[in-house]
Amino acid sequence: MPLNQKKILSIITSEADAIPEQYEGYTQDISKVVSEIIGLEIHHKVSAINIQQKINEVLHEAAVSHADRFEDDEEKSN
Amino acid sequence: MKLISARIKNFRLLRDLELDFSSESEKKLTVFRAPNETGKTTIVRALRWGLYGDNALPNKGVKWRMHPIDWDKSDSVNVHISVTIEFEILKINQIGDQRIETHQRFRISRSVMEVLDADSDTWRKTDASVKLFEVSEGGVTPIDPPEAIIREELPTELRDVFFTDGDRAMDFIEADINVRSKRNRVEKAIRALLGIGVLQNSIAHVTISAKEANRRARSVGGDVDLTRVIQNIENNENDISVKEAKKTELTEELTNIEEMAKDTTKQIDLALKDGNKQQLIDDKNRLLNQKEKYAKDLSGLQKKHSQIFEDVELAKYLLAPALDKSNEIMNKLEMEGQIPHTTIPVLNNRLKLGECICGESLSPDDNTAKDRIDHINHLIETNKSADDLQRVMTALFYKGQDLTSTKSTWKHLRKNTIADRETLALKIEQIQKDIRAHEAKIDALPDTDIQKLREFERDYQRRITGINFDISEINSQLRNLRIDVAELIEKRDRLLKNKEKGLMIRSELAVISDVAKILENSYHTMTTTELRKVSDMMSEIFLKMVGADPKQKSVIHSAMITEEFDIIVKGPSGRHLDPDHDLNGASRRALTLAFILALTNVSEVEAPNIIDTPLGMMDGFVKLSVLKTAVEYSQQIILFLTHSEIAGCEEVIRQKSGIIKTLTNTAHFPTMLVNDPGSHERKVILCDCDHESVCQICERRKEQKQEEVA
Repeated sequence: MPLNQKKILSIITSEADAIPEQYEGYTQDISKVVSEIIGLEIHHKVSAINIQQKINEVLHEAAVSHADRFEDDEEKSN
Repeated sequence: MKLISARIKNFRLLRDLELDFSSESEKKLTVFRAPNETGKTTIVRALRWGLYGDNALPNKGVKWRMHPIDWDKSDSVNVHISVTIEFEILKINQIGDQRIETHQRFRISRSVMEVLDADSDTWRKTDASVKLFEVSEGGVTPIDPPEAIIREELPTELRDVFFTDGDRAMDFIEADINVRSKRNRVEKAIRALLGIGVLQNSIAHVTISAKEANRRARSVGGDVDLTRVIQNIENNENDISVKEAKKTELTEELTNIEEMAKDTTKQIDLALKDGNKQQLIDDKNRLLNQKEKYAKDLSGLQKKHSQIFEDVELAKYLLAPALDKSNEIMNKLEMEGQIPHTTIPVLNNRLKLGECICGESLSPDDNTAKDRIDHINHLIETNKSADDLQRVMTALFYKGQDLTSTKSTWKHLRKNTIADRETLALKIEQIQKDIRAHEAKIDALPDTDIQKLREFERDYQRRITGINFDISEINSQLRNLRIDVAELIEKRDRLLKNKEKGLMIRSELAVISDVAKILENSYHTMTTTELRKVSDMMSEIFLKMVGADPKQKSVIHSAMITEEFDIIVKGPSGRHLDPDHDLNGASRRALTLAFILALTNVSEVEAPNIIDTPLGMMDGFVKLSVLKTAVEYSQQIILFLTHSEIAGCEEVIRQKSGIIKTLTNTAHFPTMLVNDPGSHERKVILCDCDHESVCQICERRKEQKQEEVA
């Protein structure tokens, strides 16, 4: 847990709110992704992990979810 | 983090000490009343060692004795030293939009054994270990390995924020620490507590992910346009990276040069403070020239002095009595017509005129005048024999009249010449003294070449201007590159939209782009808005502590943290006050405490403030105000206070403290303690007495107590 996790999370949440909602719940999802990355970075400071790979995985997972939701929304709109 | 309790064993004079700390939010103050030499600093050191290990000890623990100095080797030569600390950490879990806060309790136990040499004062350390346990209702669970959690929860950058003692309190602002170190300390503490470093690392990693995703996008299509756009994005991003790196390099160079410029200015000021060496040398040379001129004048006066002994005035002066006498005789001779010698010319003239004074003819044509002419010629011949003597007498008469007609000025001349010589000699003596004084000053001054330093200063200023220009140029290039990248990304996404397999890569790029945006904006918020908040709050706390009201006539108007992480104080009309010279010890200590409290407050980090003798060098209003403000702005505050620090603050301590205990050193009996603590060992013991009560253990002799309070 980061020392100032509370602070960082509140700033991240408010910055995420400024991101255009690409599908319903997108800002919450993206905020969670950023929080996860921050968590990985903090963990990386104290233990040897392949941080780049882990971050890529988190981003890929979010992208898959984004693509699914986006496809659904596009289909719906079509 | 909040500290719950600690147990310290055989750590110097702390043979076995158990301490509890108040963690209540309403009563967040814990006070240990402890006179001097009662282990205050040792307890702080023991806690630091318990949490951070040997690095937190003086000299990083190398050759630093931990065992009690009066350890009885006959009992054992092996001394087991340990510090066990229980602490609590606030955990935050984000589940969806729900944030759940829980407290997790840990116990850290650090131990080492010191093996004492039976025949000498030497010892060696062995068997160092650290163990961490999670303490829950279900029991105690060991965490193995403990280092990861310890490093995560107790970052070393925050050691000086958590633990502050009287001397270390100044580390963020003290003058004898160079600017770079001070900035580093301030910057490290801010970065660690605000999480700026974590955000920067995240941005760097997400940027790499973005580059990789962009490259993958190329494989989607075989479209020439798309490939070109992606290639351009990559090229521009590479350019951005290169320029960013250059900008960082230039910014670092700028910081270094600015620091060198400041140091040079400081050196010049310092050198000029005691005197400008070159100026002194020039002055000395001027004095030497003046002295030379005086010496020449003196030599002229000496010549003049010798010349006045050849002057006629000296003759007048010396011959005055003789001349007076001769004048008398001469005048008499004159009266008698003996002098001046005029007979022969008169007779010759009469012969020439052909007429005697009596009217008779002396014409050679007159036969009757022949006898008279012969008589006059006879007189002329007769007078001629006395002529030489008379001529001399006549000369003497007239010359004597020259010598005696005016009074001799020789005496006056001599007096004036001597006075002039004396004045000049005094001037030379004085100038010699001045020269010696200049030489002494010059010798005392370091060989600072002010001229050279000024040249350096000018050169640094030129370089600063140049670098600032380069940085602003790079900034403008970066702005343009970013605009280009944004346009290219839009184009790329449009092209991808038409591709069959484009959706996944578009999603990936969109997510990465938004993540990067959030991270960059958060970083920007942290380094601007949040840093400003720390700065503003530090100023607010500091002014409150020292009772400065800028609206009144107070010297201190505000304090701030600059973009370069310097802590500065401002006075009237925005004038900078040097914390080292313009603030007293109490204000400097208050400023550091204000910085630490503002930082923990703004970062919302739950952190303890363990402070050894925070109110030293303070009294009256400032002391009470510092205490009140420190309690108000901290989340948990543990203070080690002497009797004198407590004096005047009793009421606040009573109101705000959750725990108050008293520490006593057994070695203070009988000189300072009233009662025998019954221990043959030198150790610190704890009693339940608060800051106002005494017991059998802690009762101190009246005069001692008064001395401590005074």
